[in-house]
Amino acid sequence: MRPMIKLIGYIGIVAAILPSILFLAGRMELGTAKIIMLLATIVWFAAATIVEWNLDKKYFCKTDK
Amino acid sequence: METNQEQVVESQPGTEYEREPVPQKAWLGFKSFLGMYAGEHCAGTELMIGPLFVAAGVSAFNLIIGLLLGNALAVISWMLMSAPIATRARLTLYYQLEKICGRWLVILYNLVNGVMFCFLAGAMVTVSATALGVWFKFQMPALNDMYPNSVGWVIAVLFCGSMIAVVAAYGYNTVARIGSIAAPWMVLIFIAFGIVGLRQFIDVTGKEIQSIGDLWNMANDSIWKGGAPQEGQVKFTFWHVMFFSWFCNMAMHIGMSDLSVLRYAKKSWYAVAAGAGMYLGHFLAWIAASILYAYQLHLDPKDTSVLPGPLAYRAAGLAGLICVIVAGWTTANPTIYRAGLAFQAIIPKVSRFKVTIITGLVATIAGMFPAIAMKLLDFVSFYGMVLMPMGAVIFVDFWLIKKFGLQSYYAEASGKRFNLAAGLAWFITFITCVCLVKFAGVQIYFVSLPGWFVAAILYIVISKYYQQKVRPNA
Repeated sequence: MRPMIKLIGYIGIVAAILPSILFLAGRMELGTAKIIMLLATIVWFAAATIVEWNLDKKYFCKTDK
Repeated sequence: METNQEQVVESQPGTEYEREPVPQKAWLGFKSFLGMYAGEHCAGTELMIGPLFVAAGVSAFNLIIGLLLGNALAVISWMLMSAPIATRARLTLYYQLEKICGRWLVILYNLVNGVMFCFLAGAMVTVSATALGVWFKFQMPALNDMYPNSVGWVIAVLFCGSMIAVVAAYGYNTVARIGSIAAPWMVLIFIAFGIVGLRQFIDVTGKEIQSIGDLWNMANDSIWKGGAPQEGQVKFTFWHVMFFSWFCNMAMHIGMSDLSVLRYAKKSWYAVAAGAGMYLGHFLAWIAASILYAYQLHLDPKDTSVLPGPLAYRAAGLAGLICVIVAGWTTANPTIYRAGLAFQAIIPKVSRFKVTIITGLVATIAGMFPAIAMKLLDFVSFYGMVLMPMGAVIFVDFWLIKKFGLQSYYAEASGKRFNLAAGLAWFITFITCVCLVKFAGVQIYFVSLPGWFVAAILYIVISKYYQQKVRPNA
């Protein structure tokens, strides 16, 4: 479970900066870039919060058993 | 994604090993310092400082080279001034000062430090409040405003500041952990501001960028054009940028505040980790924020207001606004906490909760006055200047004073509660620096360097007379 959440978090943090690079390269509109950056922000904070507070172990591991 | 916030929290003054050297089992590895410095120096105030450089009419060469050199000097100062003492004595700044200066002088130092922290936290609250202005459309302060200029602004600052104060009092550790998970994201959003700003400049100027040379030309012609500063601002040259970036954390390195943090380092050279904070926060983030402001001026030269909220929103939308709020909040939190600790050391019988709430409210009131944030370059330089003399006293006391046949840790050895030599070195240096700025035309960015030597020499000379006159009891 945890490696998956970490992977999602890392994707989120890459997605926070990637739209700006694509906008610089002229491959993305600024409006689209802003929306992706917001979604990436939500993904990063959700994943990092779960890992930081061990929420996956507290809630999900019990049901896994 | 794992963080070392607990370790960082431990290193806050007043938590652990307050009155003893840090034992070997508690020493920390290099990675701990890398994360801490990178997070600490990507603060909300970076979004003010970058634009203020542009308002000061800085040119591209002066900015880039000045920042590269100034930040390198700052890292060297951490490595050569504070870290060698920290890893030898392994004492908090406060305990080391108490041994040298005596209890009463440390109380005075705490008071000054606490007040400075309050104003700094106030600037961070100001930054967060500018994000609310984007949503609620109230009138926000202009570049040269000294006082709050609308009811909406006062309410926004009051709301942000109260929230920060209450959360700092109730759940410092929780916010510290949020801060640690926000830090890498914030750094990337700061960099994204710069990247988006660059593209916006390319679009608006219609320039073709095919090489680094083209980019440099655009930077010179359109972004950091040099020339006259905005009305009410000081013109920034290469020397201003270099000295500002070197001394903006003077209280921490030359002023020795980071003795409390670096005493946990296994090796003295771990202070090089400060470079992560300098080159992410005080190089990339400042440059990125300055691009956003330069773009605003390019669109409307009359719009000189430095408001991180609208600047961030224009570049990165809601993610940018969240970044401004989080950056202000997570950095104001430890600042208010530290100010609270400094005040609590003076009045230990009052609970930390009450002290933190009152400190937060003082910071909130300070944040209502935009003068602090809009004159942040001056304030940060003043902050370093005020605390720098005590750094000189610690340096001399640790390395030099015995070579002059004098007693180190004099207050401890003599049982004195106020080491007059250290006190006079501090006050006379401060008054000398203020006089140089007020009457001799020396700008505040440059006065701290000669000031350090004045403090060091004064401490030795006055100690020579003082220690001979008052024989130590011990």
